[in-house]
Amino acid sequence: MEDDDEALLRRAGAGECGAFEALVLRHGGALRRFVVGLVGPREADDALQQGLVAAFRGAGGFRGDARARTWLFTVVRNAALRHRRREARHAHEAVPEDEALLALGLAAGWGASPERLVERSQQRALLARALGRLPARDREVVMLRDVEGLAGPEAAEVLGLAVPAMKSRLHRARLRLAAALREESLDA
Amino acid sequence: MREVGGIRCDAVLASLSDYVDGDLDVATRERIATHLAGCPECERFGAGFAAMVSALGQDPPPDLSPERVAALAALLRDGAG
Ligand SMILES: [Zn+2]
Repeated sequence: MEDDDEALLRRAGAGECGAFEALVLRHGGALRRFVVGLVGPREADDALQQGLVAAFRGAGGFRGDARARTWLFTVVRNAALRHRRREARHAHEAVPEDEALLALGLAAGWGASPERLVERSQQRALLARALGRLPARDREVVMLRDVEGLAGPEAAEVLGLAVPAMKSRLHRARLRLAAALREESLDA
Repeated sequence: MREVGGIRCDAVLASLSDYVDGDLDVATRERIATHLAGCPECERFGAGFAAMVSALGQDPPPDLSPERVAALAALLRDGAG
């Protein structure tokens, strides 16, 4: 019988490397994919390594009030954001928070042959490029909720947001993604 | 933009994520379903939106390479670099 994530993280917190390695084997792929979305593929391995080292060192502070996976995403995200700040190449991007939903919906193709959104979504490379076009703040919420499948409250916890704020950000990010899919397929 | 099923297109658009995520109360959910059945624009856009959200979650993450796992393990055992 396999240990659950929380038991492994507690054992890691007591200094047991092997328990932490088991967690890395289980979740490292998803964490790396998330980090690629945050800092890009070139920096991802350094940022992931820093995040996992921070997680192992901090595992003793895991209180069990979140799932271990949520906790790992939170710690690794914080490390990736620190890493991104050090790499000054990533200019800070302003994302309009109050852009009218209606304008976002129209840009996303509401009312304009939107049935093609279904076909576009099935083209993996197109979808990946569209995701890459999003502002980082939009990309991370889509990655947590839709790509990695965290539940709403878990994604909110990782992002340090209240659930309604996370949901509002997610909805706008999805509409921008649909718009980016349209643009990508026009460019293609 | 029109009103169908007691709800306007822009309100449907605003609630689409809650709709596909199953985060709505039954009454609102049914109003939106009625709207979608009677509004081709929202129905098409909603179907595309739901397909996009679902497509995002279809690929499992690639495993970390064994070399990377081994390097990490060595780093942790050496006192976490
Ligand atoms: Zn409508």
